[in-house]
Amino acid sequence: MKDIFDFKRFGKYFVYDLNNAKNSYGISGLITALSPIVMFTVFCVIGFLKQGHAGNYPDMLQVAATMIVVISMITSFTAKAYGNLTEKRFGSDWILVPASGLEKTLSMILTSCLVVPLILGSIYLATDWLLSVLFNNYPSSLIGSLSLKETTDDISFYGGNAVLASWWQTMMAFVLGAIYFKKAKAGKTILAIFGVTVLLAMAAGFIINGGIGIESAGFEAFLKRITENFDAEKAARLINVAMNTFNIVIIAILGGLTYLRVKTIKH
Amino acid sequence: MITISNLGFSYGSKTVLRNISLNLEQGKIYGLLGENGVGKTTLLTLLAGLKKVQEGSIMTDGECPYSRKPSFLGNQFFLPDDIYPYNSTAADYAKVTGQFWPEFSYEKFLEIMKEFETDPSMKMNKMSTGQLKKAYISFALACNTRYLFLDEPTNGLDIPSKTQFRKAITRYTSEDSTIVISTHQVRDLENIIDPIIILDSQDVLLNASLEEISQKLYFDYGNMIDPGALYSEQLPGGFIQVAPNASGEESKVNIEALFNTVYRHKELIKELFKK
Repeated sequence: MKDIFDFKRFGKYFVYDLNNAKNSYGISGLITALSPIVMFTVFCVIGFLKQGHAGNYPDMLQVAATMIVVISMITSFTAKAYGNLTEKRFGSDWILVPASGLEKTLSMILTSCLVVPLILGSIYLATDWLLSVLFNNYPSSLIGSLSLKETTDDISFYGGNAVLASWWQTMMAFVLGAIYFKKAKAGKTILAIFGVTVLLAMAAGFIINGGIGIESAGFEAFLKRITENFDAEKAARLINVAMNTFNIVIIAILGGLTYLRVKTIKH
Repeated sequence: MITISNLGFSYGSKTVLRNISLNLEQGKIYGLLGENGVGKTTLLTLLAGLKKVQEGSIMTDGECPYSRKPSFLGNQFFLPDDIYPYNSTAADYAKVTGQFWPEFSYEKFLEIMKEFETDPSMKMNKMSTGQLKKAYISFALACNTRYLFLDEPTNGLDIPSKTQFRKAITRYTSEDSTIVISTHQVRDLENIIDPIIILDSQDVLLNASLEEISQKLYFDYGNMIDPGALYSEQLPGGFIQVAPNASGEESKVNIEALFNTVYRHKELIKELFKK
């Protein structure tokens, strides 16, 4: 049993993994997290050069920059932190570190999906908040604009923790891509996600159109039936259950594939 | 003890190892020799569990290396020829990584680094090839493992470092450790490896201790040509000749000459050393 999972060893390995992540992504991560300062400085300099004053930093730019930072973090972190496992020199060393495949997989997933995004996200939001406090021409902070209650309500209506689940699924897909593909890890992962999404959409279409006998007359008849007897609460509950089940299954599949890859990677 | 039985391994359609059977006993430093491409590195990676055995089996104390159980991995260390330059100091690497090997000693790591005259506070990705190799060798020895597999450990080392390496191997490994060193540079390791394993493409040509070798082969360092010699090479001031040891007289084994003799008389040598 100790060869499968040991809490003490997992703790040590998790710290070791974080240390490696810091060494491989630390500087890039910090630059990404502090990017609001860079963006705001560039905006002010351009403003001074063009108009003689900085002008107001647009809300849209603040949101767009945040989106770019999130996408850049998603696509670059796993490739930088774990991408070299497919490289013989680092991969050999990593495989032979005395920790179990389960510990290595779990640590990889926790680091990529939770710890690093939390740290970088906190630094990013704190930087953004600090700029909003210090400069009048900076819009209100992102953290202040978010109403936690509304967000929570939205999330619970649209299917449990759909946003969180999508985050874990996406990050886990990028973890798998980083340790599976040897080159162009991010690009191939995006293509793979796209391919799987298309396949899932096709499968969903097949099911809805009576492929498994939901409604012999097809989707229109099915829609007519549910709109005639529409019960919003029941529908929300159904959607919640369906989405949560779907999300759990996808996360389990991605976790399983990552574990399998970690166990069988060869050099 | 490591038991290799009828081991086979191929890269696609290219067979590298076929029907290899060997026993590697405790307390010995095996020299794994062979021409380029005969599968020395492949054999070491199979022993370490980096690859999956395709035919036959490898059992290390009853465990299959590819299972990569932490308890198994903690008993061994594999040092590849091509090593990774981490973006951290050698001291940090040793501290953070060493904790996974139950018998690792940080003090021993620092002591060996000192003997190698290498600064542990230097970043590994700023080290020269030789310095990096010495940092890894120090780490490998400080792990105090029962099994140590070294692939071309003296590659990249300067002449004083090769001497330091020989000293370190004899001084810092325990008597019950099994060490397998693959090398092309036999002169670097001449006085520390015993027994010698010579691999051919898909065969083990020789697996014998120096004592057995000197009982069965005579190494003549004179200056008269022996017409019955299996191998003869002119050296400054004489010859090195290898012939079957008919008189039972002892001689100092010259590994390079042994290697050349074995490769020239494969069947004869196999027959001579048949147990």
